[in-house]
Amino acid sequence: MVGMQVSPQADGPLGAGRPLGVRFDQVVAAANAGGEWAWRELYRSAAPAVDRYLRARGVPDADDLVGETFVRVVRHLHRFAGDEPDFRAWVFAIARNLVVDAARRNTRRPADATPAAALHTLAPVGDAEEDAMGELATAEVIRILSQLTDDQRDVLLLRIVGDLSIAQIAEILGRREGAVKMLQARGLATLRRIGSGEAVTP
Amino acid sequence: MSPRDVPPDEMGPHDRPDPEFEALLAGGASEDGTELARLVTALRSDVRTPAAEDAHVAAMVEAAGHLHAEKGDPVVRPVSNADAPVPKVSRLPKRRRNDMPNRRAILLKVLAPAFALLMLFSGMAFAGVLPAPLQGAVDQWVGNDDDQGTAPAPDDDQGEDLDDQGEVTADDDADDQGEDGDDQGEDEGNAVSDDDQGEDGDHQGEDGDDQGEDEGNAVSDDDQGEDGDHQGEDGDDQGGGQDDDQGGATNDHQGDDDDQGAGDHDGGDQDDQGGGDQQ
Repeated sequence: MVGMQVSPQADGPLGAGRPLGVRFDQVVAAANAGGEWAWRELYRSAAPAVDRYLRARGVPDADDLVGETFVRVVRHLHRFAGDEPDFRAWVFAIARNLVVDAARRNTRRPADATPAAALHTLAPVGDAEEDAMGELATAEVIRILSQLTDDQRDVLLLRIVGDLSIAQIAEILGRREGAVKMLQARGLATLRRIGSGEAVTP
Repeated sequence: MSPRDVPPDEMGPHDRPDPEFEALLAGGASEDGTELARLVTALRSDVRTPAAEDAHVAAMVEAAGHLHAEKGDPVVRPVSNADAPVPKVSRLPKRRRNDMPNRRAILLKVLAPAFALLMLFSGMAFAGVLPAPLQGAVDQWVGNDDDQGTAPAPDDDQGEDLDDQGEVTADDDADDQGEDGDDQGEDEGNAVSDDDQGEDGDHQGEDGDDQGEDEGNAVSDDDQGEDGDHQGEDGDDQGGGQDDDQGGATNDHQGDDDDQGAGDHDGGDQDDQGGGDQQ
């Protein structure tokens, strides 16, 4: 049960991504041939979830990191082989590696990162009220998730936002599936403890 | 049934599936609206296309353009810029073709000196100025070819003997001449022979002839030092003289016998003289 194969986003609950379904191979081939429309299709199929993952991860410059993630996708797509769920896991792996690299850079050269609590004060884009609520929710989510370890947070975010399976997450993190299951269980236990003592307002 | 209701000995603590969490991931709503359900809903509700989509896609297209430019393919342009002139892209410098050298030129470079060398040695061999062993080998090779091509053996063999003798006598001429000189000196100092000559006029005449021949031989011995062929001819001449006297065997054989050593030849003359004397 734990290692169940999570269906790709086409059948998942996420509504922001635009799954490619059976057109995936065609779109990848067109992208490799240089079709701009194909790049946009690939971007729209995975970028929203990646953006959400990065923001929930507390990355200060999530927008830039999304762009960098997909530039790397472009550079290495010719070496990719697999179906759409594999592509999704591959994109998240790239994004996570960028997060790790950025964290290392910030450790060596601390930057003026915007605190999570101040995210809601950032200038909204689009619908102001919706964006404000979204930022507020994001700030609260970040506050809750910050009480988890990095690995526990990664596992839960990749499962919830990325819709990835235990096996895929194990490959991304470079751990065994048993270790990923343990991280997930401990993360969920921590969240439940937090919920029992302090209400989480989405 | 809650996962907490599962006996702990039936399943490991971390291997147990979390039905609530799995149901939330599958899109099912939490029954009691737990905090976990609200967190999952909050995370999934705020998933949206990044505001900088156009900028990101433009960066992707540009990156793809650089990749194709590096591969030598045409650069990808957005549809909105389709009518613009083709941008100039700095491509990687193409490796200069380094053609393989022409085989004909290589063969020419190798064969021309070899041919020149061959011609040089051929000329030297024809002129006879090659080193002695090499010249001998060449002569033998050429002679063998002649044997096979033209004449039967005896005359050619004789010629070969003459040549070979010429070579040998060229080396031994000084010694031979010395011996000849000694022999002649012995002959001249030999009172017995003078007496013998005096006793037999015919023989004396023959001896005189022989001596004359010997003197001629002495001269020819000098010539032998210069040219082995002359020695052979002299030997033939001497043999011819003896043939006239003896009227015996063929000139060739006598020449051969005489030629088999200048010293022997001269000594033979002396013996002949002695024989004449004895006669």
